[in-house]
Amino acid sequence: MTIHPAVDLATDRTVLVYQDRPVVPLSSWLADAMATFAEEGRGLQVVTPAASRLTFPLRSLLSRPQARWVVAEPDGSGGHYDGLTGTRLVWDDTAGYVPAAAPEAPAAPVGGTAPSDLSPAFLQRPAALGAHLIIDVTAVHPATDELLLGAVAEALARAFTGADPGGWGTSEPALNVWDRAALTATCRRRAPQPTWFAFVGPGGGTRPCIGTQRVSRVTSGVKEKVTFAVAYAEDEPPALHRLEDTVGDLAHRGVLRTLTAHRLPGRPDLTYEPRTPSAATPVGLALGPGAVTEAGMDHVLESPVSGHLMGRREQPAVWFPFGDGTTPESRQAFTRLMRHLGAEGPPTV
Amino acid sequence: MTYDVVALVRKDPDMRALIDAMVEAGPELRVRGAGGGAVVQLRDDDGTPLVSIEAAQRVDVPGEVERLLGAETAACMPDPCWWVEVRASRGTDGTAAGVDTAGLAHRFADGLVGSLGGTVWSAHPRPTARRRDARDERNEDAR
Repeated sequence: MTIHPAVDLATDRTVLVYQDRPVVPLSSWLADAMATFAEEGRGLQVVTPAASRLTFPLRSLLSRPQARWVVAEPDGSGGHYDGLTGTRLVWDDTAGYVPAAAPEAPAAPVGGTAPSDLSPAFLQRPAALGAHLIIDVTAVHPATDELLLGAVAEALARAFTGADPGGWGTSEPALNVWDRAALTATCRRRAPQPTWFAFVGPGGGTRPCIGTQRVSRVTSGVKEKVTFAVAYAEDEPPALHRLEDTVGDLAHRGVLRTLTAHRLPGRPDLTYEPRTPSAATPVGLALGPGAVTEAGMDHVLESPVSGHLMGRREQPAVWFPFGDGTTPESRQAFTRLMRHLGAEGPPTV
Repeated sequence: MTYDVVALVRKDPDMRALIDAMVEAGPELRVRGAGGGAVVQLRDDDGTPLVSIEAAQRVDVPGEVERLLGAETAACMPDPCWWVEVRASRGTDGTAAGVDTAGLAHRFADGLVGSLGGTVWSAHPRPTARRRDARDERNEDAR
């Protein structure tokens, strides 16, 4: 009980944190516990009741290897299941909660798991689902004294909500007013260590959006790896048409490496319930100028999926839209493009 | 499962205000820093952590209160506002080392709001008929 203030239970390979609240955020306690135990190679499991929902940053964290969202069965049986996949879990004295069928095996993809392996509580459909649009951007800036980080986050928030981010923080709640100079100063102070932070929409009736960002030093400069999520109500189509302009905007700035966009069914408030697997469908992918050059412009343009040249004429980015993500064609287009670009997918930094 | 309480207070809680609220919550408990100084814990004589209190953060983004604690709490939050997160350790019987830690966390948060103004949020409705135990009785006597 005394190893870390956030930790409730520890095994040889895993630490467990119990969180019983309606919306579970990536609190500073969880962020700190994760950092402490990642160094030791220990995994992190967050245990919640079935009524709890996770924020996007915590859900992203618990999607990583060596992390798990453990949900207590609501039937009072004392059983547990995986909040992201629905797989039934059992207790293991060394590893914490592990899949019931094959202990220690990585979680099977949902499509390949027999329904009997899944908790019935997980399969209950949630009430009203809208759509989440998830956009991953990697950008690399020259490492100069004038560099001001946060431009990608700002461009995404403006394009999809019409407003700048309202706040940022190294954990949730993100209580600092959005201030690119302040967050740049934080990243500089921590360099060469990477810095992670969350940024949130201003709230108060604006469209819910949230993002996470990792800033790190790479040989070619300073890398911003941004994941941005924006929510739409049940009867609203996601603003996929804004993706192309966003790619153009980031390409013009000369910092875009890659952008990928997915959509998935999700709650309009941008939180996640431990119910019903919601597979993300790719809706578009962009290669920035550097990535296009590395793959070879001719090769990129010979792709079976038609791409649009964006940004600067002499060093363009290429944007590949895959449709609206509601039909199998979107995923097929993504798969064809990946096969063409090579097994490793789009080049990353 | 743990029991989380957040005090949203109107003034920056200085050390004096925090100590007063701790003494009010459990006069016989020990105070210990943890987590690199970012957390203060109330512990019993055996060193068992009962309640952990995180350093106060100023709320410059009011939307975060509604997003994480709900609209009802956001409607009552003070302006300006500081967020003080309080986490009660609990075993399966709802206590830690026989102490009603949720009650302890509530007493601390109430004490802080009593002196600084503001409102208290908790993960569950405040236990009305709190189970009392020997240690709680002693707390009452000590006041």
